[in-house]
Amino acid sequence: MGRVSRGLLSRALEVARKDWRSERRAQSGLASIGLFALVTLAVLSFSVGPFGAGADLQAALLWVLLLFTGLSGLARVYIREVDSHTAAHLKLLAGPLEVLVGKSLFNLWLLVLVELFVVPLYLVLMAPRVRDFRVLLATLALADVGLVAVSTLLAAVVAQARTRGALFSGLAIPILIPLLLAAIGGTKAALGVTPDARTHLVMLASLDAVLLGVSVFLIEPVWNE
Amino acid sequence: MKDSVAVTLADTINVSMAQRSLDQRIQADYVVMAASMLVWVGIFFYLMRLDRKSKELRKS
Amino acid sequence: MRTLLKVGLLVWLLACIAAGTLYAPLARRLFEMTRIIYFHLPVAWITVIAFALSAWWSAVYLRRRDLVADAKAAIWAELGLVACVLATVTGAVFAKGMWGSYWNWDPRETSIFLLLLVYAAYVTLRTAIDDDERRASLSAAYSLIAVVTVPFLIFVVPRIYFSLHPDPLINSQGKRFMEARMFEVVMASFAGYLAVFWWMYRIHLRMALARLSARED
Repeated sequence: MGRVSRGLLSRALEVARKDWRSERRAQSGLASIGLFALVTLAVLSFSVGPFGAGADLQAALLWVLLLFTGLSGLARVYIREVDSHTAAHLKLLAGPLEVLVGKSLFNLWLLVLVELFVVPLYLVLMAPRVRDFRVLLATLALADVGLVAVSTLLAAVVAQARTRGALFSGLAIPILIPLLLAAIGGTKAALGVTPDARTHLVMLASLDAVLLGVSVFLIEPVWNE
Repeated sequence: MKDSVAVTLADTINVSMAQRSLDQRIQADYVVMAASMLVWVGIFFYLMRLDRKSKELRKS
Repeated sequence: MRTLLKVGLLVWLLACIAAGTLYAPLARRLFEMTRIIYFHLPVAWITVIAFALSAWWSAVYLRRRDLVADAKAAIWAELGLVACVLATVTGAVFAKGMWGSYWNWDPRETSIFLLLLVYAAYVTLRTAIDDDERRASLSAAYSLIAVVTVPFLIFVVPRIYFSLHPDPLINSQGKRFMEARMFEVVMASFAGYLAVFWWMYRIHLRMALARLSARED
């Protein structure tokens, strides 16, 4: 049993590493996601500024920023395979679940890299008063997992359809709304607006569990031969 | 009727309704009822036609 | 015989309308606007039922790879979309009557809006795929992803998040807040509208089956 799961993880990591290698060569993915995040943040900062928004709004705006940043860049992992006709080759190398795990890890890595850049910048430009950093970090971590789980699975769906970009956002946003609400709630708790962080973190964790579970179950009919 | 600001749509309707007699209100009720019944009869005729068409399609 | 049943259904619905006007009392704050309830509640319940049925047939498709199951899932999704639009609009009018504004993002309004988005996304996804089996698998997968997240919003959120608007009439325990006669008319209307939607489902199913067999020839 241990050998099987190690096989899955190592092949998934291979997929992730391959994606990261082509990313490092072309650099288009990370750069465009980062640029999108920066521009959006600039617009927020310009229009609202550090004093223009109460803590409620600051919490919500952070997640609007992260949501749209994610939607702009996380679908590429599968679309690229289909468009460059490497999908069949990939299917020979690894099973659907391994590909999903690998690409999810890659997406998570991309998202974390972008957040390492954008979130501190957000804290500086929008200047929310963070009361509890641990809650903020926990919220970010849990919400990232959920965001990546949904995005990667839906990327696999959308890669096989037409009109990718708009369709991806249209499909992803309804699924992500509960996650978003919980993430905003957790952030509000981190900013001291609401006292109870636990409810939101528990909600995020259970959403993550459900989304991961359902992705594992559905990837085979979505990405099979 | 209290002389309050009409906040909800119901208040607006209530205010205008209070200015009418009970007979007029009952009359209005009947008109609405008849209209909605007519709409439903119309929907039914449409559905019966679709029903027939779909059965023909299925047979062919 | 069948035609008799359908005429009977029409009579039933007309009786419900009459009962709503003449038999059931009016609610205190709403007066004549009360009667929206006899349409809004049944249609909102039908939205959820259609959603569940669509997800069910999606799961059946993934198990059996039977395109008939996929057709059924698609039909329930389309009917559900219609019901959802009706429920959202009538709900907004009811909200305006009851609480003064058309839309407030309270948990129930948010969940019906979410359902609307999910239905619309499902239908859009289906139009974007040409191959029959691909379309069936991908939309079935989306339907199941949606079905696991939407209950979070509908059931968990109202308990966790404080709602400024008390919603006594919309949940199933609302019976004690509603007069007995109103409840009777709501349930009778629900039975009638459910039958109408079932009828529409049968009609669409016949057309879909005709299309499927034509494709095989």
